[in-house]
Amino acid sequence: MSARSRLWLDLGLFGALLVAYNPSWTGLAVHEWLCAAAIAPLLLHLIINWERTMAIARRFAVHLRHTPRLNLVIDSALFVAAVGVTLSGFMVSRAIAGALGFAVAPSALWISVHSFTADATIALLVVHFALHWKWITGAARRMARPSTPSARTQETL
Amino acid sequence: MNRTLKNVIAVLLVTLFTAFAIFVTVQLTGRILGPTATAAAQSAPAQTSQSTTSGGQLVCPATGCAADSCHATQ
Repeated sequence: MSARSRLWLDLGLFGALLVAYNPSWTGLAVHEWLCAAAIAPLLLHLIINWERTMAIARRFAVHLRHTPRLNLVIDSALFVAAVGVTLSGFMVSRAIAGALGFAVAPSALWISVHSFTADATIALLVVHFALHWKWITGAARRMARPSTPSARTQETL
Repeated sequence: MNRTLKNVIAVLLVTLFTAFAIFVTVQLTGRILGPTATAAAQSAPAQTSQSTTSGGQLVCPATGCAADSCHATQ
């Protein structure tokens, strides 16, 4: 996948998750369906970066510079929070559950979990974004430059 | 098996395992804290001002239900 596609994917995800944070901004149905639609791109983001993350994880205990180590800790926490907010979102959902034919009253505990993991996800997402700011600006700069055959080759690496 | 397929399977497995672990943890916590949490939710006064909103989710203190708005039900 090219850096350009990855940048659009990541920026789109970042924007969608920020918008989805508060259901009162979009309405509950849009909030739920937007989050459900973000699952596949989120998994794609993970798949794209999986090998690099695993390489960092393997070197974690041995010798690793401070930044990749911090990245790994933040990314792992963000992953758990994102899975938690998605799972709890399904457990408290009304629009999606209604569309699928389930009408279960959500428990107070799952609502608390959803609130906590949503806050954690957004906080960690902002830190994740900040830690990868250099890559984001680099990819944006490459996108802005007129593309040459050598640049295109570099981009796909 | 090519590398991409391996990565897809690894990501799906890790995601499902994490979701399952969170599900079991929350359900077990609910079982342990269940009666206390329910009693606390029911004894809380049903006032809009005491509803909590976090992560964009409004929670009604009287019922513990998610809501777009919370009405007094006394």
